[in-house]
Amino acid sequence: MSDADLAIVTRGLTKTFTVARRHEGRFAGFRSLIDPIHDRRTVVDDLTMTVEKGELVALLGPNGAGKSTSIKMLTGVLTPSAGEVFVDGRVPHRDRIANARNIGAVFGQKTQLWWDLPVRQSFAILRDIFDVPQAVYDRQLADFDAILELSDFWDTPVRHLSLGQRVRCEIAGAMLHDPAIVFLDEPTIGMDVVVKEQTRQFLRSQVEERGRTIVLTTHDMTEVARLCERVLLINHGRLMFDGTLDELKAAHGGKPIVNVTFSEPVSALEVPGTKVVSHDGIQAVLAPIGSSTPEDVVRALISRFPVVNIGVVETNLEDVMRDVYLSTLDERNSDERDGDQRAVETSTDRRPA
Amino acid sequence: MTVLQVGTTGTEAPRARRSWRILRIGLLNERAYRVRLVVAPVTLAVQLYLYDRLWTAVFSHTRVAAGLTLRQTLTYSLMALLLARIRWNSRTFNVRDSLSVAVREGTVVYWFLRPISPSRFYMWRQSGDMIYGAFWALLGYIVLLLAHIIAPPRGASGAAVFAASLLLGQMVLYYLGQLVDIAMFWLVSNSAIVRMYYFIQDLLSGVFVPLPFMPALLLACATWLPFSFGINVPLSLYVGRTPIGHAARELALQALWVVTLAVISRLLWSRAGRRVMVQGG
Repeated sequence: MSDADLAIVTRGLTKTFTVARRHEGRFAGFRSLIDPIHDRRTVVDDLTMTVEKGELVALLGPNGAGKSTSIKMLTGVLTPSAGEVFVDGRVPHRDRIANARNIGAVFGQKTQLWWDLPVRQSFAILRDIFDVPQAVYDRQLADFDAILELSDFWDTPVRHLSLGQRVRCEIAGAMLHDPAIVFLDEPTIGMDVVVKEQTRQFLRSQVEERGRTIVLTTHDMTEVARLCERVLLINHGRLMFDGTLDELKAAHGGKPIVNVTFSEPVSALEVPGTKVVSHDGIQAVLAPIGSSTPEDVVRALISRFPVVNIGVVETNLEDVMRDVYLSTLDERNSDERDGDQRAVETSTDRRPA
Repeated sequence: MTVLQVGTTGTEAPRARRSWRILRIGLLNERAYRVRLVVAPVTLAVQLYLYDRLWTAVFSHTRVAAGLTLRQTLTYSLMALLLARIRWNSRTFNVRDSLSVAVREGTVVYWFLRPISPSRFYMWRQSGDMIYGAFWALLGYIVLLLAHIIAPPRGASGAAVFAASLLLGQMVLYYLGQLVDIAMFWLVSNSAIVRMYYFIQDLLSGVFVPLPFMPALLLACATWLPFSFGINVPLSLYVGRTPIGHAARELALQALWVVTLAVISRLLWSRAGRRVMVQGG
């Protein structure tokens, strides 16, 4: 499949910012003013990924992982420091105007609607800015209203809307010009469960019925589970995982765990084919390892220890993500320690005898 | 699955509709806060009345001061207040869709996601505010003229020269204000700078006091800076302090400032585009 056939292609995409660091000690403010220290920070590091047309993909990662910066490069707002990026065959930062016609975006709580104007007036401004034909505009509004129920409040000034109402309007505003690709950066943050479900239904319909490609960043794992076929996991600006949620669970301890309570404290808790996750006298949590199943663990525990209560618990997706984030953090710290060690060794090698 | 349809690339009619739509945003914002529609004429009327009383008192014992008669001074001073109203809304740094607030809150990201350059959007948005301000200024001008408080233009040629100078002067002030706004991309917060800038602009352009009344040092500063080309130059031509024979030179200098500031603005917009830093990732 060529780059033009894919919705999004990035190869070695990198973004480095230069940030000013404050001096320390006496006259720090003055010294920072006349001789600022500049550090280079790589926020997105060698990101290579593809998204097919009509896919709904979740871009996940902890805070500061580089998700938003990646989206800003994909939308053409930021220019990459290195690497290549193509959105529907275009280089977004070089062909910004054409790219803008083909994409829509919602950046969390940041509004693109006009605060003091009724929502429909904001929509009309966007219609004329994007030069949307009236027939397309009318059809879009009717479609959006059918699911998002915008007509209940679209004659209200934006400043008077609740968060849920406003974000629904933001999403509609981002799609008014019928973009092929939509970037949603934490769009459902702060919404109640009913509005979240309404928004999810809307996004699903836009992908299934209108063939849009949606790239969604979120920390809401229920949303990911309900919406996304594929997950791209970014941490420290690097792509750490690309696959389905099931594959992510399988790769990062997605097996169920066993909670057990004993009638009296157990000192040495050793069960073949298990890893003791936690153990506190009469209570313990165990995870099956290797080919062992939760049922094997239950049988082994009952046959060896005075069990009064036992249960198998499916691993929560939030827990999986926490483990993934922590494991990638550990890997990075380990890499940095290795790097520091290498630097020390190099420096020692160069020291004159 | 339907075939996605995006807007046609800009022809003249859609561009005109787009510009018209952006021009109207300022007026619609004003309508949303209707009390402003009352506050604007009332505060203007109070200011005009106080300046009228002040200058009448100053001239109670003299016929000419700083080379101006009472009628010339009143005309200059009251019209300066009216001209300052043209860009009155642009100096408000808390308007939600202003460039400074957009940069501070991160919503400026959307300015770069539309099929119109941020600088062009800014121009139409500011032009709308200026047309709205010009409406109030024109209304005040007609009232003052009908009440014989200020002098009429000095013939048809005087009116034409004034109109051209006024237009160039507003362009100078527009570009200066734009430079202050673009500075937000580097400063992130500029409310103190905006306050300071508009104080200096009013001081050195002749809004507070007609420039001929300024001490020599301030007058020398004002002569070399662009601010006086915004208000002092057109009003000096209007009241006849600058002879009509010098109009060509004054207009040329104004045009030179417009071109210089436009080039600087263009450069800064292109650099600002590379500096879009939005909070949160």
